[in-house]
Amino acid sequence: MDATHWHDVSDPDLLAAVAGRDAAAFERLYQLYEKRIYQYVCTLVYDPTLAEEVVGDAMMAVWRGAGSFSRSSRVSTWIFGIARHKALDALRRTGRHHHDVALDEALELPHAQESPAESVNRKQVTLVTQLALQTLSREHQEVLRLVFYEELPYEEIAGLLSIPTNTVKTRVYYAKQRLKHQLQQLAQDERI
Amino acid sequence: MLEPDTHDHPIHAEGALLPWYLNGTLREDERCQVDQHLLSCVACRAELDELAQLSMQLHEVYAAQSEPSTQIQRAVLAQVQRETSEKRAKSVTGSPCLKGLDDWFRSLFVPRWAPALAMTLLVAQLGLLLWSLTLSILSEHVTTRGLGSPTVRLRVLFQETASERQIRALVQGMHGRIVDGPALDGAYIMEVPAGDQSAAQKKVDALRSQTESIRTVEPVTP
Repeated sequence: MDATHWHDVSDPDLLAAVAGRDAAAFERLYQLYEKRIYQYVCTLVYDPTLAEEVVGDAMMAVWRGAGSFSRSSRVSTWIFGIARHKALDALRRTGRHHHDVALDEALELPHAQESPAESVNRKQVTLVTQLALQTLSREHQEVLRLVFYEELPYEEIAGLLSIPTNTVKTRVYYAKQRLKHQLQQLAQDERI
Repeated sequence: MLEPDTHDHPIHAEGALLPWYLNGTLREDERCQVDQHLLSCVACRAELDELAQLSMQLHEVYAAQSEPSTQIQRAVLAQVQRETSEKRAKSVTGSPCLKGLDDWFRSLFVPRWAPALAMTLLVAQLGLLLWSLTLSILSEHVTTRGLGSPTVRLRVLFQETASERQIRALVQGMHGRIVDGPALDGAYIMEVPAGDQSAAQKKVDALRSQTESIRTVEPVTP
């Protein structure tokens, strides 16, 4: 049975099959999560090579520990939790720490051509948002991804980050405010 | 920068739920509460629009981010195949040997006196075991590995920012050692010497005071 057999199966059922040592089910789970885990881990470690190593370690831990998933959270929260601990261990082991990037240090945008005043094109907006995102702290980048991209409930984010639910709500609030402020700064600096 | 647990300026309780209202993961009662609130609150409606716009922008950013190399997938799946094959090989090669052993063992019980002899031997061995256990309890020359008794085991979650050097210094300062971990939640099991309950509690309190390096400490219940 190959990975395509598992295409329409839910995450909990996939993980149950992995717990039963089904390599094809694991391959499907891997395909579903690899990119997401990698990008999430990059938010934490800021090193693509280290992030790849962490992804490999985390997914092997998923393969070996699938039987311990208790269904008390989403599968994604469980897998992200493993990846997070592996990433923090890797940071500790390598002695690396995140540093905040000031707006001035962020990559400079290529000069926009004289464009009509009505709108900035979508690519430009994406680039600007990415620049602004890079200036946020690791904690803020992390919660924004977990809320808006991974779409996790706040209770599960609290469990994943080992913080109270109220702290999750305020952290997201401040992260959004900070991002908005940075976006406004970039716009005012006439880089767009 | 650590943000406070509460906002400096007033924000509606419903306003704090808007990101999850947007991603559709609120409980039914919370969703209804926010629905009701939005009917009358202009500020929160504006905030929701901003969040929706931001969410779209973030989706574009994340979708455009780099992907891992194909090497990682190949390496992981190859390792999984190896582990699966090894396990399969063990169960296959084990069977003929076990069957042969089983057949030989059964042949020993063909004579009628064999079960009685087997029972006699079992009783004799049990007696020998009990006698040797009694001897070891009375013996003064007991050697143990590790720190030496008595010890207590503690389940420790270190701060995310704690460095390896800090952790080593902490463990050495306690004259302890890490005996297990990390678990899937990142916790380690530390064994430290402690003569009695009160000494153990002092160790726990001492560790808990190291808030720079330690997040939580709990004694492990045997």
